[in-house]
Amino acid sequence: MIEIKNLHASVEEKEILRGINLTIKPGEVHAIMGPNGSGKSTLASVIAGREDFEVTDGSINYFGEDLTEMEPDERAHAGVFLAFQYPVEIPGVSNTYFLRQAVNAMREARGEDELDAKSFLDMVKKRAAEVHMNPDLLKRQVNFGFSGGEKKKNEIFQMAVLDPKLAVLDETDSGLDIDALKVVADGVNALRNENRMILVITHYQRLLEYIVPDFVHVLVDGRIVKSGGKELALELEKEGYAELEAQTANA
Amino acid sequence: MSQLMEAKDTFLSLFDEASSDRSGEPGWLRQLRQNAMDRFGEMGLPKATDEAWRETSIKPIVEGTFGRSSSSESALASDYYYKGFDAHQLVFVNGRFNAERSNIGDLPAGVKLTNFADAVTKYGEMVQDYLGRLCDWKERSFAALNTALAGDGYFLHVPKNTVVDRPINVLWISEPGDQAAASFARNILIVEESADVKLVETHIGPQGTTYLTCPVTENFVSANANVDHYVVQDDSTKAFHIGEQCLEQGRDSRFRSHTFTFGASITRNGVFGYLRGENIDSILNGLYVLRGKQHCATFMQMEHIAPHCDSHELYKGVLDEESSGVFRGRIFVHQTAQKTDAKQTNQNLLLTDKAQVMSKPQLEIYADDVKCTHGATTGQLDREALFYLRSRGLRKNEARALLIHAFASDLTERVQIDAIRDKVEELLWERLPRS
Ligand SMILES: Nc1ncnc2c1ncn2[C@@H]1O[C@H](COP(=O)(O)OP(=O)(O)OP(=O)(O)O)[C@@H](O)[C@H]1O
Ligand SMILES: [Mg+2]
Repeated sequence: MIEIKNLHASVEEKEILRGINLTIKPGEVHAIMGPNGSGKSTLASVIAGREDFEVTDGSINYFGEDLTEMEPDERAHAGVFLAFQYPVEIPGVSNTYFLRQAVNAMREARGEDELDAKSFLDMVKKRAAEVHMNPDLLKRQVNFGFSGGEKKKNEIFQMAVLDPKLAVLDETDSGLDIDALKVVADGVNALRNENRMILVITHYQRLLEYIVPDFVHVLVDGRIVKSGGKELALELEKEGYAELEAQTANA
Repeated sequence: MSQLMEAKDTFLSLFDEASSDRSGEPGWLRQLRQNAMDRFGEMGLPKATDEAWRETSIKPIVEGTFGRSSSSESALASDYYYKGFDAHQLVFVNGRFNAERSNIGDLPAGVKLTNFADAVTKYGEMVQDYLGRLCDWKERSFAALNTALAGDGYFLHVPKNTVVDRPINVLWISEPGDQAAASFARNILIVEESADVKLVETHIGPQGTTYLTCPVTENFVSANANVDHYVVQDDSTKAFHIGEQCLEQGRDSRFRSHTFTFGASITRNGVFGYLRGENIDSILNGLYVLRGKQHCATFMQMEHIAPHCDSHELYKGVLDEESSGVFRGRIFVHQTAQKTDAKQTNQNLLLTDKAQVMSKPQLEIYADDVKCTHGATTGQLDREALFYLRSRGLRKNEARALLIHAFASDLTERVQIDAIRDKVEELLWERLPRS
């Protein structure tokens, strides 16, 4: 379980998150929607441990541990996964090599032996097939020269391989055509189970037709201003954020 | 008397001390040495104000006293430094040929491979013909010193149409013992028309020892010949390495060089190339991986004299702690060199705030129909990439090592000889920061 309480975070002295409260239980899928610049990626980054952001108040309790005290790699070892809004290109590093390092780092942290090359490749191929990822991408350099869609698929693929307890998907649907969107959504749905927590961040209601969330939250100006069931997404689609933004401005 | 003058005297007396070594040499060589020493006497050591030496302080060299080492014995491991490297091996210890440790083996008919002193005896006319033809000792102090004091290096002559089956490895071990010693290896590589050879120059010395090594190689590459040339420098990090590669290429020839610098306190890699015939392909790559207070300067000058020649230089530096790097490169395109395709790139990765780099690739073009580019970048590790890797579970040091390796592997991957590639990879990994 992850329990975020009164979370405030700043970047370069500027407060971006201004008191977030959010609890996700195993098995639940939550969606966060909100206008540009409202702090969605900031929340995702703070969960994953990006150093640029400073938590100035509040707490994140993750299975009884204070997540904010942990290094980004320790969070990953504890099962936190972030699918980046903008996956990073890393020329000179092959996707396979990178993934193998990642898998073995996770295993080492859990006190398990390294996977040998063959078992690793078998596992990777299986997961790639599950998320309909072209296995050729494995041989390429990490995200380097990938199309937008390929980058997003690569994130879902990594998620499938790393098998996280908490997956935060930051706009994994943005900029995708409908076919790619279906692949991404199918991938996420395939990974959905009673132990996993999933936080989907999106701009677009469309994604939520394919990944049906249990809860929807609206983030405006660093705060969650409204929460509800999946129908809230439809409401937002119709009415837009304008009204909610106006409400928070007056608040 | 200034320190620079005193240091000059040290080298002048080195010359005097070595006079008995020279007594058996032919007159022309003794004269050449004397002329070079006289010229050195006029020039002295480079001054801090010399443009070409502005960023490289030779103060520690000036302050050091370097004698001549009499020992040609080495306690260093008896293998040839590389693992499983099937090569023709020449070993020099403290600048002297060590025949016992060398293993030249069988060479194709007509190939001459021996040490400099032996070549002077056996192939005197040829040595006379080539020695000093490319190395402009009248202009450069250390080149003059090398010419005057030229000690053992290798002499390689590959006749026309001959393919040297296995690579040649020339290993210089500097192991001066108690007194800091200076050595001046002089090498001549002559590759005749359509011949083919792979050669490795390797420099090592026990960690913690101080010595000065000033090797000069003159590479003569004739028409349609192919040379793969490697320099692996893993000298003691208290040593000084002031080296020079001079290159002349004839038409349709290919020269590929890879210079790896891991060692020495101060390194200077001079490269002077003359592309004299048409349709030459000249590739010069370099990687320097420095830490502590190591300094490495690359000083390169490529002259395009004939049309339709390509020269591509890629030099990369990884600078940790308080190390510093210099890259000064100049491509000079003569009016006669139309259709030149030249590209000079220098990229540096600074791992700390205290590491420094001065990079100045330059073009000087007198022909109008050419494709010439140059570029320099200096940056730090990509924070986004680091975070990305860490978010996937890689520890900070692993993530850093992976990114640094990715930056440098561009150059290690170009090495065509497995044993060399394995070694430079090993040296690279060894030097990646662990914290
Ligand atoms: N590294 C940073 N330095 C300075 N400001 C930043 C940084 N990262 C984000 N911000 C600012 O914080 C605010 C919130 O940004 P964030 O990326 O969290 O928004 P978002 O809701 O994800 O927007 P989008 O829908 O465009 O992805 C913006 O005003 C942004 O400019
Ligand atoms: Mg965002």
